[in-house]
Amino acid sequence: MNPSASTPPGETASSAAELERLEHAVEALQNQRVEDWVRLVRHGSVIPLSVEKSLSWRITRPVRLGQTAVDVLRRDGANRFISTARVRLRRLLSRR
Amino acid sequence: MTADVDVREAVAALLQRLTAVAPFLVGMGVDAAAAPAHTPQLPTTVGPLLARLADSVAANPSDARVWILATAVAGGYPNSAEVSALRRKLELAEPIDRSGAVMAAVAATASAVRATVRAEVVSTTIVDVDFCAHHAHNTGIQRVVRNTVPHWMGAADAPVLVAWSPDGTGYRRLTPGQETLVLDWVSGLPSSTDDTNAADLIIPIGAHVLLPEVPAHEFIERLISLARNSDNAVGLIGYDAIPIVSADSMLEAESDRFAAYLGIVKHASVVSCISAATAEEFRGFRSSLGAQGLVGPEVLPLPLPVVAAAQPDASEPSRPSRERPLVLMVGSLEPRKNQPGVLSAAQLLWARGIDFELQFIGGGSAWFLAGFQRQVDALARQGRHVSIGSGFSDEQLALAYRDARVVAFPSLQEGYGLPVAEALATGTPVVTTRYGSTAEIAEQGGCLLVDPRSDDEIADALELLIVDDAAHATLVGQALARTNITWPDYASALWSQLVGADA
Repeated sequence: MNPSASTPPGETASSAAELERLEHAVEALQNQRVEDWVRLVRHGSVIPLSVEKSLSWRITRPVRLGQTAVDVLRRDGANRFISTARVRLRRLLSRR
Repeated sequence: MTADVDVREAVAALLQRLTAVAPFLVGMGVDAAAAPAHTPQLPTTVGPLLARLADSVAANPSDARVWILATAVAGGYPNSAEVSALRRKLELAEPIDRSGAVMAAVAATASAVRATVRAEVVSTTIVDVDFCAHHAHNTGIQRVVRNTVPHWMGAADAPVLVAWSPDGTGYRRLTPGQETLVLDWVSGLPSSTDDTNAADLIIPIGAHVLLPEVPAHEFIERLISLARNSDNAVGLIGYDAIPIVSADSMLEAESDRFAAYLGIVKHASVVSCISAATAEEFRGFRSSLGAQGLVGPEVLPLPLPVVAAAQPDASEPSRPSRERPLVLMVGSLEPRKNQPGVLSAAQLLWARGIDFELQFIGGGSAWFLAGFQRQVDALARQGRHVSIGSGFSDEQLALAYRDARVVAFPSLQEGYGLPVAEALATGTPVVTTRYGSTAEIAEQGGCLLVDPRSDDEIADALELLIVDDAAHATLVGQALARTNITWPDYASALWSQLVGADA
């Protein structure tokens, strides 16, 4: 026996509406999850442009560069560090 | 408030990237079999679309499909570790957790992409000209790129030229300034520092990706992943394997970079080598790959053309009479090029009473240059006519070739030997190495071949060409009679090898 055959029409409409509501809820949750991730990767380890442009951020840049260099040296070893530093330096020095 | 705007823009960019690659993920594999006649209706918001694509890739998790999904989600190319991690996570995750698995796996690359990057899928041919697009420097590899790539641009199937974004996470189309550096280079152009982080990420899918340069170390990890995991056919120009096979003559960092570069080579489709000698080196590497269960790339020789560096100023006299004959050696100052051998041979000749001028042209690393410069300076103080020059324009270099009585190039190892070709194209005889790529160039005449490790042989060959006008004239005649291919010929043949059709 097909159970829906005995379901009253009003109740079917109500189930469809509930299904649609739940689908919207799932969609909203999926979107929220992506937004949370974006917020994390964009602002967890990357600095917003507004902060990058501030005077204090620019003044303290050498300190951060030094720390980054130490981190890269530890992570990648001397050869890779030298190679990367040469590329970055060449690009930096050729700025006009 | 600003942060919310940034997030909304980032989400919109992610949606655009996912939408751009969706046809390649739901139109392939399991989905294609299930609905071959039409592209299924896709969600229009980012969360459900990501879930849909993650499900699709999980159903058929080939490395190529995982690479596409990871690239689109991160906004940059993943490394191999990220691709492997994502594939395994997709295989193991419950359906409801697949989106989270994707986001977690590519977070490192995603966090390195500063801008809200959108994407452009390219399925034809792209050419990585990163160094030439950023730098005005123009010696060996840059000469090849700048003389070759422009000949590809007029065709109907012209490639997309790309360079790496400053954040090092993916390709971008060239800016107008970068295009000028690659396609319309002239001496004196400034280098480019254009910030392309915010420009569209190029996602190659089913494309030919050509690497006519040896990439900078920082890009190699992502390129290995592209060659290994994506469905793109990677084609390279093989210049030489000197940083590995003659590592004793190189800086350690250069050998380290080349060792990493070989990771791209072993997953490439084809390597076009600039000489038969270089092809042998790459075939040797290829033959070693069986131990890793890999086949390696097809290795094909395609010698570079024998063409002058530039046309010297036509108003200059044809071959001006000099106070004494000029022996010229062009090339970066490094032990492998054997400048000390030439200097020693010159001292033998001066001791024999032969009067001539010796000029070295080329830059060099401080660690070698300082000692060599001291030797040259000491001889100059003794009254010998010897000097080191650098920073020559192509036109000045062409004049130097033309003015020289003989060019010396007894290099210990070369991938090709551009100075030999450029001298011969100018009609100037060359004393060069009797093996390897320089011997190949010499086959058509114009050269005296020597053992580069014998200063006496170098000296004897130079003496013959300095004092014997008949022998000199014979080699000049041979050089001028050569039938040399041109850069357009080379560009067309190279395209055929790397892409598979005539340019």
